Amino acid sequence: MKHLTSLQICAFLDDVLVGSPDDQTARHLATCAMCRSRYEAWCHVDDSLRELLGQTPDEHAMEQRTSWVEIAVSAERKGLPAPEFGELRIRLPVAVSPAVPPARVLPVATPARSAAPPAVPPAPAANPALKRPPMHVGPELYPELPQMMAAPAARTAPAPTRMLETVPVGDPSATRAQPAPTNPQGYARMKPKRPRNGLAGAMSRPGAWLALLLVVALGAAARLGIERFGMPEIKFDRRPQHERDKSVRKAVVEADGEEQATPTKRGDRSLSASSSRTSTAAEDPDASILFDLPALEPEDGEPDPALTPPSRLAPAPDRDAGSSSSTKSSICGEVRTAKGTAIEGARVYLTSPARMVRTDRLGKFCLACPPGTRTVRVESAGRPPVTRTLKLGRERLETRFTLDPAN
Amino acid sequence: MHPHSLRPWTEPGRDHDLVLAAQRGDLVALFTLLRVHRETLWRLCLALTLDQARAERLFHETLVRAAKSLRGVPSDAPVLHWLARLATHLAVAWSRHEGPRTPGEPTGAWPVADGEAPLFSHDPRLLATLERLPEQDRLLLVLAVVERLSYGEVARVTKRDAGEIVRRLTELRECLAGEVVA
Repeated sequence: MKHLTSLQICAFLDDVLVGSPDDQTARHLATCAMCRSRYEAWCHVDDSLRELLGQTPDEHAMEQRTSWVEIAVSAERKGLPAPEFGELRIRLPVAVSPAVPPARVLPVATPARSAAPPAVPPAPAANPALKRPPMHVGPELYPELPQMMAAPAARTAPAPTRMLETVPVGDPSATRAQPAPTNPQGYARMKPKRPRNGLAGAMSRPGAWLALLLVVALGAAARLGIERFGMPEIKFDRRPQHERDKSVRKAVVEADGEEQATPTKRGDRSLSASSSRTSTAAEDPDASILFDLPALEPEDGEPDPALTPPSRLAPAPDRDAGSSSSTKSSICGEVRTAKGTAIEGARVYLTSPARMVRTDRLGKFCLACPPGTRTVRVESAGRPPVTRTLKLGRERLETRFTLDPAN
Repeated sequence: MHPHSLRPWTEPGRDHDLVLAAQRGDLVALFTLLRVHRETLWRLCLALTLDQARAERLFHETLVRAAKSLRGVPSDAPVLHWLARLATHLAVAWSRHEGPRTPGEPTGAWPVADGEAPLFSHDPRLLATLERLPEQDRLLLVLAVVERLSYGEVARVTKRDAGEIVRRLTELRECLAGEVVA
């Protein structure tokens, strides 16, 4: 009689054979005692393997272990140091996982561990290769840990007894009945914080926070000073030159239109024409309007502009007698070269209060400022600046600056 | 059919949506994916390490590594096959790094019931033989015997030839039955 080969027994055991080969093998096993004993021995090995390797821990322990993985993954995604968890003794349920078929009793010697008293099972010895230096770190270094640890426990039904406990590896004194006292919540052994680089590392230093606090305090103080002492903000016209030219031309055209609507002649806009100074429509466009300068509020007790005596130099008439701008003192004038050519775009600075305007196409400017002694400085590219101190009353003061070309 | 050989191993495209969402950064999908396969992975880790503490470390490290490198997994590939290969690679690396287990070293970390005698009276000779086997052979045994996968499925998981799988499985059974020396 020809016996079955090992491959045939293996295939029959794994239900790979179908049809005639399967029937032939079954008939042979029914008649051949030697092959049947081999087959039964192999079946016994398979059952032992399923019994040994097919077990699953209870759901609570598996949930706890999975939650640790979730904590580690979440910490890694957030850039936090990865927590390192201690060894955990996962206790199996009393019954083996139902997925494993009922085991046959192996006719082999019982292991020595089964002879131990069932009430107090021996603590399993730890592998020396798994030993790590104990480092107990509480939640103070990892504040999210308690919440994240509590989250999976909240999803599951409350267990009547605690199934998990942390036992220091290699510590023979630690048993299940005596969990580590410094680690009552079941988590420990986290790596120390690693130094951070980049912005996070810079902001983790106290000096960076102090510098940031200082900058914020200085900004607040500057803002408070502006509000308290009325220091106006300097507004610069940041538009391109051609756009500013358009604005100037538009204002001039509008002024010309108003002038034509009145019987006043165009030449009245000249500073030398004293007759035009009495006309309300003959004034040049105000530079403070053209360049979006802030207007000053009239001071208390300010006299009626109608009663104000005319300026000694050139008391220009107001463009709109009814407007509030007629009650303000201002410094107006023009900037020209030595040859009398108007300088466009020259910067006219007023030191106190700090203001700046640029001259228009005709070289004229106008600065509204409170009465008093004011210092005006005129600068133009390629020419030395000119500084002049003016005593300004409650009137419109007109002056002329002449800038010589640089040597 | 054995319950272990059901959907997680054999159903194609089972985890497609979860893998896509996890690759886009969805942590909920990632954790759901890991929870789906955790029991099977735990059995693999237990078979690969034959030690309770090592199995827990391997289980944890495999899932963390899987979460980190899930972007490289094709969305239509079975995740469990990939997890099994990943766990095997880690177990092999650890075994090379920490050295083989000595024959007399007790496997005290093997799971026992709380306050009860060991759940199974396993054969110490069988356990000793298993410990001498390499991790790839243990994976072969757990896939074919415990998980009851077909030879083709085992070949796909381990990326080995099916004929080689049959031959090696026969040798392993002869060895475990005591017919030949491992």
